[in-house]
Amino acid sequence: MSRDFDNIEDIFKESFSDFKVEPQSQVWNKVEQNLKWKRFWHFHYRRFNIYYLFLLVVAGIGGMLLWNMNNQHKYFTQNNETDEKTYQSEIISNENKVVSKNNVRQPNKKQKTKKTDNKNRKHIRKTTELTDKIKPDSLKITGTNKPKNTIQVKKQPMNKNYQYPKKTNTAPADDNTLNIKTEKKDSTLIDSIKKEPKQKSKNLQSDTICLQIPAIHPKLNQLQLDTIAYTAYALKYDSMKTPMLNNQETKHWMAELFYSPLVNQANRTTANHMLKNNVLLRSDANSQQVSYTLGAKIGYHLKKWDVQTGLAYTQINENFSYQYQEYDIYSKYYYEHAFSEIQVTDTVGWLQFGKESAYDNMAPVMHSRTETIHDSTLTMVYDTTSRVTTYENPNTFSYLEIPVLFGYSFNNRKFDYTLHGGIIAGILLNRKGKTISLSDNSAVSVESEPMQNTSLIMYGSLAMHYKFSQQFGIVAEPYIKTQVNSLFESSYPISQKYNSFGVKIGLRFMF
Amino acid sequence: MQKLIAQCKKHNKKAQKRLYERYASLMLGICMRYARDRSEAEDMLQDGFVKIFMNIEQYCGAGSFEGWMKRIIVNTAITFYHKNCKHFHHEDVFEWQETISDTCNDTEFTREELFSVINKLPDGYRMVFNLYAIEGYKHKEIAEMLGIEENTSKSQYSRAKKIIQQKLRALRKIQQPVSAVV
Repeated sequence: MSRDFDNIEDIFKESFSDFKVEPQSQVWNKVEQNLKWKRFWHFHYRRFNIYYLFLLVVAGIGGMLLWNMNNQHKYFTQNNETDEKTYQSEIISNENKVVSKNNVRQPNKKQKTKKTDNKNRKHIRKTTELTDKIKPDSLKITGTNKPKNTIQVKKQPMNKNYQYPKKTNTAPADDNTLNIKTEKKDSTLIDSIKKEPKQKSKNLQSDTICLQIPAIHPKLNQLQLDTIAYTAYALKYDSMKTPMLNNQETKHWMAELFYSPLVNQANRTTANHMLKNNVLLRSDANSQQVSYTLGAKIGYHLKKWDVQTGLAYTQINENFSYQYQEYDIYSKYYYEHAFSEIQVTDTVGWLQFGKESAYDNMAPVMHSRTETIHDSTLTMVYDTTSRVTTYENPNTFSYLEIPVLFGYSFNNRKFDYTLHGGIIAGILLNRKGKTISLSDNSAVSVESEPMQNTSLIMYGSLAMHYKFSQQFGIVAEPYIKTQVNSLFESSYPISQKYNSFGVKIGLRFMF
Repeated sequence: MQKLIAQCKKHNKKAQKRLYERYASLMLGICMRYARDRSEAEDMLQDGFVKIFMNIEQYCGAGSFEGWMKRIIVNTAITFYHKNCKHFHHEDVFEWQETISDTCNDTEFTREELFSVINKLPDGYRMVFNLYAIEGYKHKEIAEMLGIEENTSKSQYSRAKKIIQQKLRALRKIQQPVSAVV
């Protein structure tokens, strides 16, 4: 490496051209982990797996949920729309008026409810030529609280471009017509509300209400029929009754998709004193990683009680980190007792034998370990060299779980809280990784150990269910699981059980 | 080798591990030159191999595979440099600027000594020196890669070279009495 300093490029180039440094063993594990995640987010249809399926299902249910929520505020659709704008008006039913006279409802409560539920009083105005046919039956209103024969409509300023005639008129009352009258000067007369005959469905009470307002279009300068629809929900709100569909109580069934990260704690015990060290080695070598469960449940509830079952896939992840020192026989020495006594002056370094001894002509290894085996006639001394093998790999145990759970619910309008308890049958699907052998503490495959194919797990949880709608909701469920029987067969001298804690996050569909 | 690359393109884990085992030490050697310490070098190596495996499909066989991998590793080192730029503090380099004799006696240096010299350079200097002197990039290319002016690259290289010469000279002074005794 003799070089002039002015030409240091060559010195460095030559010196570092084959510069190699051995990386630590865990670097590959990190590369592997990173690759796993990168590839997971780098979607390709060829790698479609259960995780993608889960995401797809979650996205699908989320989409349905949004669609369902949007539909709740979509009051009507009409095909031949010429002009469509949204504005607000206030509807006060005469039923409400009567009740307020009786002081049943507190005025402040009424005021508060009106503020919070403003969005329910949105309606869509449609303008149609007078000559056109208006189809009130296309405007459907659902709800339980039917308007009385006469309702009072107090309209806030509508479309400023229109001129609404102010007059008072009372339409004749019959089965299909609701009488409307406006008493205040600043309100606009609604000529009539046509009420469609009641729907015959038991579970869904539907009314179709169409408000037709003659108004003058500013540009066309002609009288047009302004059609307004109100939902029964709005009316129901104004009548201060709790919105509730008739069919709410009939939803006894639920289906749920869930995912749960979980952490485990492994309890290893043995009654055999000789294996205590092995158990300690196992506990030191195995560190628990975040595991997961994903699955689906179906349940039936009646009043406050429910029962659930389903299928779940659980993967328990551990990291096996272990260093095992193995001894290879480097050379052996032996002597027969019959000849003479042999002095071993240095059992670690140099072994000295008497002249009668025999050895295999190999020099002993410095700082090595010797193994001495005696029998009645012969003493064998093995000089060994040691090598350390480092194991750093993940252990995984996969289970298919079938739960049978019972629950008791406490619920209010938007939340359900359910205490669940029960048992889970776990079926061992797969196991991969390393463990420590009982015989010589070497690292062996977990598949060499006699594991039970089924395990029994006790389960307890508190499920919090938030209802987006009558059908959809999300669930957060912290839980604990305790394994009842050992992972290993009963004949195996070591017992291993898992305690787990996790939080299920799921989507619930009620039907 | 072609078979191994083909298997890696199919994301075969065993092939990926074999490829890693084959080149990891060489690539870590490169990373060590760019990194401040071994831990950072191993992080670079990790990110570099992830990029290699994620982009191996783009390797079409033109040119040497080792060269392709080295380029990715060097680019990863540059990414690390950019990430660390905000934490980068210029060392006072002027303390090293002493007059250097034009002629120096032939002296042998071990790789460890050269490595320690290069490792103690300020981050920016080390990057430029590595890219120019060892990888063989031109100043224009280095300027583009590091997002600096071409003249900055030249001046940083010049300063880095002076520092290295100074340090090597100091090392040689230490070595000479030892070799005299031996």
